[in-house]
Parts: sequence; C-alpha cells; structure tokens
Amino acid sequence: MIISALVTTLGIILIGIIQVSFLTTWPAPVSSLNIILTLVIFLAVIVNYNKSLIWAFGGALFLELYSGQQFGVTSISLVLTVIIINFLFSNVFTNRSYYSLMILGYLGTMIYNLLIIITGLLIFQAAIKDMITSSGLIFLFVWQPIFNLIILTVVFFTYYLSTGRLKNFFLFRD
Amino acid sequence: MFRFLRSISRSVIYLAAVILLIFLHYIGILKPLEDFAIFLLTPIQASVYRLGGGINQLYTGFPGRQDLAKENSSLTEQVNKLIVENSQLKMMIELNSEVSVQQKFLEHSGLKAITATIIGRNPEPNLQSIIIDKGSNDGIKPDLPLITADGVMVGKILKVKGNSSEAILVNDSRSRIAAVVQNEAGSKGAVIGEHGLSLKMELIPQNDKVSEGDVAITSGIEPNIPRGLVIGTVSRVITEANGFFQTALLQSPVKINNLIVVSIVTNTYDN
Repeated sequence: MIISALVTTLGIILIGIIQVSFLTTWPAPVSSLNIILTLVIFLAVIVNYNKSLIWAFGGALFLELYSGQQFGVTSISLVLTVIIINFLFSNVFTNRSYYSLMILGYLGTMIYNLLIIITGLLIFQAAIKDMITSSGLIFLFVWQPIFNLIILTVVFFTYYLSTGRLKNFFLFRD
Repeated sequence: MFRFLRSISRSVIYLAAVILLIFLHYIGILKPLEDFAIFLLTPIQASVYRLGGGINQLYTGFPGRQDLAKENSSLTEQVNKLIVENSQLKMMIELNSEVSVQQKFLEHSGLKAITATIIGRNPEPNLQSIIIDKGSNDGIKPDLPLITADGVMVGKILKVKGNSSEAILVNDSRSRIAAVVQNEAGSKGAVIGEHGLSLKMELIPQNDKVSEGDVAITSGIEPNIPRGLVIGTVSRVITEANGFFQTALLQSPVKINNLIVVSIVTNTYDN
C-alpha cells in the first residue's frame, strides 16, 4: 500500500516534470501536448477509474505549482474531465476498445480545455481574453487533441502488447 | 447500482478535496508546502529543462542545415551585439545631453541584476511565461524586468513565490511595456506581445517618422524598469490613413523561446 502510494507519487512528479520542464522546451505545436491529461484519460478508460482520479488529483496539484492560471482552475478542470469521461465511458461506450479510447481522448481534451476557459471565467473571473484568440484556440482545440491522440495510441499499443489484455476487445476477433 | 453509487461518492470526495485545497491555498496555509516542493524539485527541473532545450536545438540544427545554422547563429550573435552596442552608444549620447541621474547603462550605470536559471515554462500552450529558480527569498519582486546577458529585455516578473517566480515574456499577449523608439522624434509607445509569436509597438504618434531597423528601448517611465533596455528592432511599420497612431512590428534580437538563463534587474537608476 505504502509502496504503491510512493510509486504513484514519484510517477506523478516525473510526468509533471516532463510536462513542465521538458515538453515546453519543444517547438510549437508539439509543446501543446498535455501528457498528464493523456495519461489520466488512458487510466480512466483502460485501467481503473480510481487510479485516474488519483493521477488527476496529483497531476493537477503539480501543474498548479507552475500554472499561469489562478490556483484551482487546473485542478477543477482535470478532476471534472475524469468524472465526465468516466460517465461517458460507463454509459455510452462501455467497451475498452481502441476506438473508444480515441473518441474519449478527443472528447476529454475538448472538455478539459473548455472547462479551463469556463472555470477561469465563471469562478475566478480571470482575464483570459488573451486565451480566446485564434492562435490560442488552434493550440487548445486542434493541435493538442492531435498530439494527445498520438500519445494515447502509443500508450494503448504499449499496454496492449506488454500485458496481453484488451485482446478480445480490440479490432480482431478470434 | 452499488458500483455506480461508489463511483459517484469517489468523484464527490475528490472534488471536495480540490475545493478544500483551493481554500487552503487562498488563505495561505499551503504556501510553505508549495515553496518547499518547488525548492526540492528545482535542481531536477533545471537539468530536465536544459536537456529538453539541448535536444530541441539538436533537432532544429540537424543535418544539412548544421553549417548554415552555425553561421546564422554566429552572425545573429554579432548583429545582436552591434544592435545593443549601437543602442547603448545612442543612449550615452542622449544621457550626456540631459542633466540626469541616468548617466550609465547596465553595468556602467550600476544596475544590479540577479542571474536565474529557467526551470520550466507555463504548461498552458497559449501563455508565454517561464518559471525561474529565484523568488522573494532572493529579492525578486513583481514587475522587475528580465534581461539577457547582453542587455536585451525579454520579460517581466509576474508572480513571486519563496524560491521561484513566474515571468511573463515580452511576446505574451498580456505583456505591456512602455517603450521609446530611438529615432529623431524619440517616439513613445507601448510594446505588446502577439500571442507568443512576435512583438508590436502601438500608440506611436502618426506624425513621427519610424523606419525599419530603428531600435525600440524601454522608456523608463515604469517604476521598476530602467530606461534603455533594448526590446527589439522595427521590422515593419503599419500606418492607417486618418488614424492618430501607427503601429511598428518589432523583432527581438534574441530567440526568446530558447532562453536558458536570464538576469533580473533589481534596481533602477533612481535607487
């Protein structure tokens, strides 16, 4: 139990550092990739809802330390995104297929970015006028979903090949 | 049914925890913990940031273009030095003609600066801000200017924590800097970031003659920003008929997105 918590904490810190200090040095639009959001969506759809909530909570806390938004915007948006993704997965998609993951990955990215804007506006009344510019929207709603889906594909196939799970649900039928 | 209820209760618990943390943050209880976490993570982040920047530079200069990139980089460096030197000379001429305490520029003027390493960037792709490893414990305050080693202004401190600070870069849309063009009229205006892509100087009087290649420097009217820090060179002038003002597009002499180390000017000519 303690070891598992420690591993999760270290994992969150590692992914958070990669997000804040590594990916952001890359040229746009690759730098718009949101690896924490991607991982959280993967966990919610493929692995386990509880784990995805833990990662969303921890990951959001890490991002809050370095976020330019008001404290709380990222946390609320990320946790709510997981809750909505879980609701959609449980009630609409139901099986753990590659297609479900891609659609939920896309929806999750859209929902997260919309929530960031809405939360900032409604709750914190932040001056996010600059965020709603043509170039900002392209990054949030075009490039970020593309790169998130690419990473989701990589993670999905790595998980599929390394664990052998999902086989009965994925593309081929015996 | 039981599973559904359990997932709802979990969701509510996590949301409540988030709201509690937001509350604790705004009443200041979390501040020491946040500072400690940043203090612990800073060395790792600085290394990872340098690694990322190194890989990025390898990628952008990789092969075929390597020689050209090197030559370009060397020429750009020379041009930057000349721009800054030229600007400093103009400043010195200007300063000599004024009875003012503003007699020196940068090290000649006794400006003090703290060197800081960039440990990360704002994760939101549309905000151009960096996180540096110096904070209020090192004497950093909001609104202090960030400069490169050769005196080019690249940003301004936005938020300060104990051991780190967030600085907004000049190309961020939220950035506003009072500036003056080094032309005959000494045209005043405000330099504004263009969504992380470029810089523009607005509110330049329509009658002032601004030409390509003119250098825009800080005007010194902002309390923490000394006069004479180079912001960029004019690359294009946009004039609208019947308008009161004209706009100049600026190009910073440095690659703002490739910075690794910056200096924060902690005093102005006045103090």
